[in-house]
Amino acid sequence: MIALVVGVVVVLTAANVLENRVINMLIMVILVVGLYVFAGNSGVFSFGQIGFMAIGAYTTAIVRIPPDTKEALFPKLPAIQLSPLGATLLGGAVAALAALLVAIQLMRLSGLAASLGTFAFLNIIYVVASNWSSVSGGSTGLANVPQTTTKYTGLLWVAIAIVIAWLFQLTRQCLRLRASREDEVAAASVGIGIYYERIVAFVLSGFITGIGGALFAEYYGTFNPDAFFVSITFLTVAMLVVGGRLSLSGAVVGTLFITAATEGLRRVEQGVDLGVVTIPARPGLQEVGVALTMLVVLLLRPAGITGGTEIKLPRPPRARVAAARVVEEEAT
Amino acid sequence: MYFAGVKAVDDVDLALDRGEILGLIGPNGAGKTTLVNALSGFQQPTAGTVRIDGEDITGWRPNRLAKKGLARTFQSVRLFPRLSVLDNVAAGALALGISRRKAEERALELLEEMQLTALLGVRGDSLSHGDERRVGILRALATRPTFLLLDEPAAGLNEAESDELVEALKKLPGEFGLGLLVIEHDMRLIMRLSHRVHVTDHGKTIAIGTPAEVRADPAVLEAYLGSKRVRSA
Repeated sequence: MIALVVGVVVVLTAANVLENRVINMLIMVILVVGLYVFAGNSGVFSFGQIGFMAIGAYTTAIVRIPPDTKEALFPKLPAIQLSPLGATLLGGAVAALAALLVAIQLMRLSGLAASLGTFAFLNIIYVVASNWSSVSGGSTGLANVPQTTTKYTGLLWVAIAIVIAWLFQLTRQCLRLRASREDEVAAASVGIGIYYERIVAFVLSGFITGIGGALFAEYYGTFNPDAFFVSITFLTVAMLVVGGRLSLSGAVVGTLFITAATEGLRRVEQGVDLGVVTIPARPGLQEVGVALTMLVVLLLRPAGITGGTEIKLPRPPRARVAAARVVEEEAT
Repeated sequence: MYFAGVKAVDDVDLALDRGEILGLIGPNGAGKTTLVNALSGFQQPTAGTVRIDGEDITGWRPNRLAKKGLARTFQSVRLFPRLSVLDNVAAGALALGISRRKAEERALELLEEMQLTALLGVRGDSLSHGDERRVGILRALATRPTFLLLDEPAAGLNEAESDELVEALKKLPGEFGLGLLVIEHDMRLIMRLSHRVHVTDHGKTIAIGTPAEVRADPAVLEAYLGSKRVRSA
């Protein structure tokens, strides 16, 4: 909770120099929360969620680029323009629909096979985005998307993503999904199948990730398929693993932690002049740093920084009732 | 029923009524767990049928059987390790197709009945072995089963815990109107608990009857206690 409050304060007071880092971080939080909704609750790691980010980004860009720019640069695209909010929601919705189609097929698979399936999906999206020139701009990508994402809209969508993920955790589907994550055989013995529950989580995850992609498009304005491939997939996975993949708090904490760490490494990477000594530039330090952090966490604290527990939020009424009953009984 | 090429259960005929406790006993390796797996859908029998109220349920998947009113526990308990005790039991109650809130209320009632409310926030993997077994039974009970199969419910319990468990289990058929099938190799526990006892050896039935009848059966004494004990008795 404290970390969240500090995070919000930092976001709102960040100097302009830092602003692009902050907005980038907010988008990462949305992507990692999206990944968590599926991977954290189901126990099946997805390496394909960034594919939904791409779908969200391209959809949003297609309905946001001004019609006259489209006529000049991308003549095959429809000459329509939605509002930023409408475009963001459409990006999320199209990503959710794509997630549904993928899930219907992939969620029949278990464990590793499902994870590999999601990775195959990411590759398909990458290749299609790189070659479908009339719609995606091919490997040069799309440009001139109006840059409407600010730290405020970013923060608002972070809050929405966290609330969606938190509300999902209170549903019966989520408890069933988590039970199957813990022990598929025992879950089956109390009537829990995994197919339907996993589809629900995958679609929700696709929606949130699609929103992340939409905000990404509306922030950078210009992007190409390389933005939605292995390096960002690895980064989001590392953030979730480092924070703790079994809790929503872990998703948020991991993103903040890795962002801070990479920001520090980025500065060192460019070379630092300390007056007495000069640390020469070390290209690639950031990526190696993230990978090493993930390795250290996997080796020393496999459940991540939060250890799979939630940062305490105000308790819902029924938990209070239950706790009160216990106290009552102990008193009598 | 074959298991890895060895005939594990052969020609066993079981009938279980509601309100009844049927004990199934046999030495280690007698095919007891294979039988539970076949009944609860975790292994497919190569021959034979399983029926509930006349309906053939042979080969049904476990999650479908659970909704039909057939629940089971596991010899190794298999709680959901990183879920709380409350969530473990509530996950069972969800089989009734009720809301999460209703499921938690039902879980709470069951935990109160077994006097385990103090544990409701504890993770499944942080329980003592005895509590783990009790929560495992509650998780199965939460599905409101018509028939409950308990696979070695007293394994790993000391004598006092085991006695306590017998007293708790004895109440279940009356309280919940269910038929209880208890699989055990602990003769003492089965004799104290069951209305009827079914003795198997090498996958075959060797005796059926009340505890007193079975105790006196020479075939049982030979298979279970060994001929040496028979002679000395």
